[in-house]
Amino acid sequence: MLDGVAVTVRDLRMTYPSTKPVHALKGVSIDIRQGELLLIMGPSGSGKSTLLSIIGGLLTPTAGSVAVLGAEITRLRRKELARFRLQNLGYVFQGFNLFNAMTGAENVELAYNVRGIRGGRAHKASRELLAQLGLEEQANRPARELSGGEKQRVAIARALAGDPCAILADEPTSQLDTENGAIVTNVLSDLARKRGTTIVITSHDDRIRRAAERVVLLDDGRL
Amino acid sequence: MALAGVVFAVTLLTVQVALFTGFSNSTTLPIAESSADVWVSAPEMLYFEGTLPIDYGTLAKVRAVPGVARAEAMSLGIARWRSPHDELALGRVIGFDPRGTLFNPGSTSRATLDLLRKPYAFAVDATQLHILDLRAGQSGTIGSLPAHLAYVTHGTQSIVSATFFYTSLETANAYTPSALSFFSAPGSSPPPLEETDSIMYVMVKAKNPAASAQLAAAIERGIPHVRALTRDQMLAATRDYWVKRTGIGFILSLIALMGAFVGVVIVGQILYTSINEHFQEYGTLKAIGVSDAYLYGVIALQATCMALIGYVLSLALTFAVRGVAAERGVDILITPGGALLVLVAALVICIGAGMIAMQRVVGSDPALVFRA
Repeated sequence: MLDGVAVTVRDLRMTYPSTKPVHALKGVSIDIRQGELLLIMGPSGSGKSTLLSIIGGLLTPTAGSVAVLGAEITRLRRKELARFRLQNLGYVFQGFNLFNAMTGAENVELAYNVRGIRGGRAHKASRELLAQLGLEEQANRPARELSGGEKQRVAIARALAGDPCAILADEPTSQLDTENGAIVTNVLSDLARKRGTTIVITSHDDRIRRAAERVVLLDDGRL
Repeated sequence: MALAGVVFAVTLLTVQVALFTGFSNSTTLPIAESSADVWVSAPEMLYFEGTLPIDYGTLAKVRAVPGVARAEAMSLGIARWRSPHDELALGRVIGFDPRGTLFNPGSTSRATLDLLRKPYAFAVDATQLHILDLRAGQSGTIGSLPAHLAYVTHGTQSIVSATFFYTSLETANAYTPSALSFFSAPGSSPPPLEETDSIMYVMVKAKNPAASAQLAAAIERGIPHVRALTRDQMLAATRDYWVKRTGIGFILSLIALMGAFVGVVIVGQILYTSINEHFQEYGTLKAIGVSDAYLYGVIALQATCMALIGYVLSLALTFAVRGVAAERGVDILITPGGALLVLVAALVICIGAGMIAMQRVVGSDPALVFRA
């Protein structure tokens, strides 16, 4: 592992099999530093989500390698990969993907629970995380009643529950209005700057581009 | 919505199982009403109502067998009932000794039972009154003889049989005379039975109930041309006949099976739909890195909760239906065994359906949540 490098991507290729195979990635290589906020931009169909999914251990590439914190996740077996994701990575989804019947706090508590932290400890930790993201008052409200910005901040709190080394966010502000988009951008930026969490984002949002330390353009499967 | 569907499916299953149990129990009611350890009949006996007569003299022979503590006769014949308003109905006359101790339909008091010692008095189950077009205190005729309703019993009528008229041996003999017996004339009391009169059974109380099988064998050895069955054998023979050899048993078995099948399909469909509705949520957990075992555990817990809640509500509904059915003489019987069977079935159905539905989530690509 290179000093200060959180994620190393080497010659990554991904082909989706079909009658007419789709070559989504055509040899992508990149190093992402610890605590860096990296923005991946590119037109629709350029391979952004595929790249993010492979870096996040959600998808197995056709060729190439991805190492996260020195661990080559492209060589891990399915169960090992799931455990690695649980222990080292956090995810923020475009559509929030919260459990709508649960409160904001319960959504975060669940993320602690699946990591073996339960009861009072999980309850306290989830409220602390929500407070850091300015959601003390919304903690007990059902997720379905929260605004888009509040939902995305709860989702970020959930992603932080495992104290991950990296957070992968797919179009995190695309469903938010200007004000909430700005809040979420600031939160992600603060996470990288103050907590040293590596943040990899795919987005078209100019505010994120301004907040990002580095912007890379993916076009037709190539950086 | 999902819970409502589960309640419906489990209630369907519970009612079918309870109906089947009630039916099965109902076929053996006269045997269950007796405290006899051994039943002696003609060798051709197939089930309670399917037998040939034996002589009343057999009673004395049975009493003489070592090991017999008490023996009482029971007769069974066909009755042609005519109500006070000239309505006709067919029934079965069950004659027994009201002074005896081995048969007491409805477990009434001794004083009530003594009412049957009066000539031409009978008792009948409350559910049969409307069939007989009869009210308490009224009289009709059986054959050409008077028939006075002495008292009403509860829970003594088999749903597979015609109306049971419970009466004394003498009155039963008068109502359904054998070829050689005395024919009663209206107004006279029926005479005591003679040795050549026909009865159907001799009910036997053993000195040692634990050795009923040995006593039954001793009776068969000691008395020619009779069959002796223990209480359990008699219950099984009658139950098996109705359940296994008749159309009604087949139909109820089929309905119970269909109930279980429909329950499985409904619950499976409901849980599958429910899991699909929450596919994104389960997919998110999978993407986070939650193990398959955890996901299965979540769905198993949900399915168990659903099964338990559905089970409790279905039992309540079944008890409610039971009351209505009982008024019509249909016994919906929820035994501890039946209740346990339904509980296990509900758990297996719900958890099984949940596991099958969960296959889609577990087998899905976790990257799907990024593309959704």
